[in-house]
Amino acid sequence: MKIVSDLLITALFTVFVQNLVLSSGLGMSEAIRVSKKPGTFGKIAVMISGFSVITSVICSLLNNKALSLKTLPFAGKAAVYGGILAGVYIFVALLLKLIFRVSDKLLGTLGIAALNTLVFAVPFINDSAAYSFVFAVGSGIGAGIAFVLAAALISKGSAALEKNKNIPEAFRGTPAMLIYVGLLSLAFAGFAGTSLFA
Amino acid sequence: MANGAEKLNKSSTRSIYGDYLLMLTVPCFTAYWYYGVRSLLVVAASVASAVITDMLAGIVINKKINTGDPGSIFTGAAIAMMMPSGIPYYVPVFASVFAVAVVKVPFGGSLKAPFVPAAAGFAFASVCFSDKVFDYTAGLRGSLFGATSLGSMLMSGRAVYIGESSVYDIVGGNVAGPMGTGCALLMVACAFYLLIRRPKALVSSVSFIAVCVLMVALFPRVTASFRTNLVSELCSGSLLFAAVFFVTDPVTQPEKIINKIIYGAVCGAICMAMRLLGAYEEPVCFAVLLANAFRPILDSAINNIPQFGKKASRKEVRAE
Amino acid sequence: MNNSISFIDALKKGAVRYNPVLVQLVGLCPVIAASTTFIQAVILSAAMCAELLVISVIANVLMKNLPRWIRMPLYLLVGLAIVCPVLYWFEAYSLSGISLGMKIYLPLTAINSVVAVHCEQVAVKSDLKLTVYDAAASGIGGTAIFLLTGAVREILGYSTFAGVRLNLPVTLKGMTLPFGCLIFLGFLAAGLKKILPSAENVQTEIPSDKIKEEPQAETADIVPEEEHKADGTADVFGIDENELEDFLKTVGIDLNSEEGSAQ
Repeated sequence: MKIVSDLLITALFTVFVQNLVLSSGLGMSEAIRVSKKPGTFGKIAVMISGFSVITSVICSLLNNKALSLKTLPFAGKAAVYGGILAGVYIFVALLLKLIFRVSDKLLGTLGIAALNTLVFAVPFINDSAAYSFVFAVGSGIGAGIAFVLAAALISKGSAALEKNKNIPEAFRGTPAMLIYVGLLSLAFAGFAGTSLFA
Repeated sequence: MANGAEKLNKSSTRSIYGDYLLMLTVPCFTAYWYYGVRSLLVVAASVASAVITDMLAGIVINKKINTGDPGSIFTGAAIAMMMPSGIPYYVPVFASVFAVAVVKVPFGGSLKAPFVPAAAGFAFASVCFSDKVFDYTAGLRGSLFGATSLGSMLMSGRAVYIGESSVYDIVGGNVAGPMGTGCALLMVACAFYLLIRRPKALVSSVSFIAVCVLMVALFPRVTASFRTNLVSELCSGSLLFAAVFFVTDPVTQPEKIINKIIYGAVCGAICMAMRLLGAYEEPVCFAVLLANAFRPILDSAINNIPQFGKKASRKEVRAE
Repeated sequence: MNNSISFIDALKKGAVRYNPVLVQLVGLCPVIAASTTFIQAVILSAAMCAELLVISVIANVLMKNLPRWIRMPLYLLVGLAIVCPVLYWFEAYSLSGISLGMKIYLPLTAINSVVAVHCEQVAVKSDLKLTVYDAAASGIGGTAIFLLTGAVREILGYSTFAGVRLNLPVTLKGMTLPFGCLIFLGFLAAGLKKILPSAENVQTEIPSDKIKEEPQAETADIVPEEEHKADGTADVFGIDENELEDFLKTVGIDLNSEEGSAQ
């Protein structure tokens, strides 16, 4: 029971209080790009959560047991984390390709979901917050939900902006969208008040 | 967003913002009653900077001067109302400039802004000048708890006994806090005026307050009676002010009644969650911004209610 | 034909018209999250440029025949191979002003979407010269935005410039947070749009990478137009094939004459 509540609290904390995408800017480019295609949200959420959980679990296990990453310099940690992420991605992609014969299109989506700054940042966050195993899983799940929440907010917001004919010429398109996302980020600042690792 | 405003043509806008400006004279009066002339100077500085920014933006973008947009006047005055009276003048000025230049102008004017400009301006000021915006030490004469605001008491979890007589003081606004928003009774009076003019708009406010009360009952912040918690939560900061002036905003509020109810409830839940977990003493403006951001999702989810159950966002795509 | 494109042209298009940050909206993470001071912006943009150039060249020379899903993790690994020694060097000599945030965001640039997008769009389907031009041009465009943003955020947010105190009367803490940067970028993008003479055919749609067009990208670069129309998912992630072709043309790649000119 305690495990479930820990998991839930960490996930909620990651989604709302330190919304990794909107109040820390991680994976922002991907969120904006994905927001153009609401149909993929469910898939992407599962993929990002999955990759974050797998990588952060492997990293936290390594931290505690085999390699004792704590003694490594930061550059070493970064290399190990990156290697793990790339390895996990290749493994999953191979698995899907050879056994389940999924289309290359899905593998492309998988690439976007796995290889972005958000997923790569999760092990660092777990490391700097000294999260234990359960918390690491929670923050991984939270990362996926946070990403989709951000993508959904941006998606609906920019759809409304496109309908808005009163926007001055210079602000149409990208500038208005950037400002909109900025205001979303301001709204989330009410929870945290500071940026991650600031 | 802003679709609610599409029906409103220019003249009715004027009358709506006219209503809000008329209602704003009430908190202005409160501010003058408790804090004297300094408060009116703050209002003047804030309004002037909002209007001037609007004019300059008009010159830069359309090569013509926008004059007398009541939306900008409302934005400037509302921001000033939520500040302490001893605030340095540059804080409301920055907040008003931000509200007009970032939230109003790029989205094509007050009627199209996807967020409430005044809420965004105050949120910006809270982030940038958090030490000044919530500093009430230049407070009012002989107030109930000195310079300690209800919000800071709740934040530190200090239990204070609130007796019969002090309830009257609190409801009357005789306690340190934002200069215009303290008097709960006058806020209720504003709500009554709105009830006559635009009764449907108040639906959101009612659900907002109802959810706030529910959250107080579930997660009290100080170990005291429910009444103490409730009175101090509702009367602290700008909660009631935001309920009357921001949540009812005709531009950002949804159109359908059911959406209005959910919109207010979302706003209330976020506001109380931010009070519990957040970084700032008065997060209601952030909550209004977030509720504004959730509104497009809310609208499309409600429109898809017949086939609700799977994923609302997916349906939306197919419908398009 | 393609080889006749001058560097200035590539620069104009890659750095200004299709500025990676302001128009293509790639590489936002390092700008928003980490370039809060001028020095951090310098370090990050240097890392980004180095990665962009090196990875593009490697992709162009070695990775053309690999499938896309293998290329993408390889970009990450090559990027890490570039960044980690630099990071190690920073740590070993404990340069002042390198915060924990910098230590985390520097390796994050290895997974930058600028690299992925430019490698996928340009490097693996054109000749070496164009690849270098494109990488250099977008590197310069990105760097300009990084430095400008870093400087403005440091001056307004901390009232310092490159560590030197400026003693401004007011500091806006919000500029150091992500939202300040996003709003600033929004105004920069609006300014860019106002300045560009023929902006109307460019800015509304964001050219982004062609994740969902995997089969075409892998098997053949030249695909009849009807196929894109028939495949309803071709525009996943917001890109229309014509738009993309248009974009590629402006950076000097003509998909339709690719085979003739690529040698």
